[in-house]
Amino acid sequence: MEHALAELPLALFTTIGAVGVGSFIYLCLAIFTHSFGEEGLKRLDKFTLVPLVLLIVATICAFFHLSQPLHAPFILLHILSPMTIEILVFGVVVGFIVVYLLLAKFNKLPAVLRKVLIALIALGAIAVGIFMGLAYKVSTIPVWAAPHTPIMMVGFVLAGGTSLGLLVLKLAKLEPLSQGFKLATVIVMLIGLALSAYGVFSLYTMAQGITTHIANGAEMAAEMFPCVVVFGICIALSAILNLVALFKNSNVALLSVSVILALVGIFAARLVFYGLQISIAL
Amino acid sequence: MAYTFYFDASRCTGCKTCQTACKDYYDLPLDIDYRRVYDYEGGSWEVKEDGTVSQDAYAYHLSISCNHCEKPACTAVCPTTAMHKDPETGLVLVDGTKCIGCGYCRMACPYDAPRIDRSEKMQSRKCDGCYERTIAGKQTICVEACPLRALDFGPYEEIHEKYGDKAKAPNYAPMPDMTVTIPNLLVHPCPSMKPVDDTTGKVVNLKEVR
Repeated sequence: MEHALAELPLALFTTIGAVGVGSFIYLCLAIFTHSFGEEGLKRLDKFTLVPLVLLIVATICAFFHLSQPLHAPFILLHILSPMTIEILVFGVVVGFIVVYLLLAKFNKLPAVLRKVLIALIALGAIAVGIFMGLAYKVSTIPVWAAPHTPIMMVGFVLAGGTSLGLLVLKLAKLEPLSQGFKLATVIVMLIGLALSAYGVFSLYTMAQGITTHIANGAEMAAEMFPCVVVFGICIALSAILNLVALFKNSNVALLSVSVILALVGIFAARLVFYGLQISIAL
Repeated sequence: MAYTFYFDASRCTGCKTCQTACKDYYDLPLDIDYRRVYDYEGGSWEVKEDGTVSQDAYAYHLSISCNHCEKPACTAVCPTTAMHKDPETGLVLVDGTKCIGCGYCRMACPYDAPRIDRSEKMQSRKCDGCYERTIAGKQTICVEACPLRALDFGPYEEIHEKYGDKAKAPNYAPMPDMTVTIPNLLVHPCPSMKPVDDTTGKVVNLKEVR
């Protein structure tokens, strides 16, 4: 737990960032499966500011992780370092989102360009998940360097973005949603749930089996178990609320609760991740 | 040229004078030590049928700082190149004008050498092999302070020649396998020193060294 609390800003960055970018995957699905009309798109663009604000909050959290934020531009000096790649990919995706919203604001976003940009952003969101995970490919921390780390992050992007994406669509009053969109959303969300559950389970079981001269993985894992439970409950409840919103009764309050549950669940999983930082030696 | 530390475990009593002298010389904050002394202990005892007791308990100390590795894990992950290997001396140094204090160097280092100073300099800090003193031809503070002469520091060839076969590769617990980062450290082991893959002992003074 000591390690987890020491990395709170990073836990917040990877949680809010994953949910924020993930929502654009569902906005992409919505744009590709509907024809919303000019007014509908205007409302959609207006409420797309919600995930953008979340991404800005995530960026601020990332800066809180740094002791010398003013030196941040120097990350461009080691372009191949895992952290630099992570930040660059995140920055490029946020940049694309800003361009997308500015073009929409000034009515310079024809349908084709809108589809191209939102598709690029959606692909970028998955790339953010992958590189957020690969940033922890540190060979001296085997429990982080394993494939489950990027898999877990992609899972968080896909599963965490569902509720926020649906909330944006609900706020923009874009209803009814097509069956094709609902089916695609359920499939992507389930893939996200499977990847994130596999990632957390794999991380947890791997850590349990590691003992070093200074750390007992089983003891550290036991300490993080409550967070694993919180992750499991919250992410499952969020998914259930999303299904209710999709197929039964959708409302802003329900989806807001779902977003909060997704954030809490993923944050708990990130605490597990940072809490299980077990170096090969000292 | 590569500078290397030499540590004689058969002499070290774990007095921590090296650690204290370094902390004093560099006026380090309370939570930062460039050099740390790990207490490694293990073994057990058993009562035999005849009532006598046999034991294989052991304890030894390991005084360690940054080992200025040939393949440093810290420089590999540093996003700004602030953590770099000085081409002249081979010492791994922190450029405070570039460091963002992200802590990745500390996460990656298997010797736990870099520390993030969040109270004064707001950057990563660690042993720099007393860089200023070294280039001036002086000895490092920890070596000068050691009352048992258990530490030494100098160009690799010089140290190797001085200690000959006594100086072994640092493959002893609780350190990692030396092939991971190839540390510039030579060790003269004490008889109880265990190999890196030892599972019988553990570091018992974690609160002092973390």
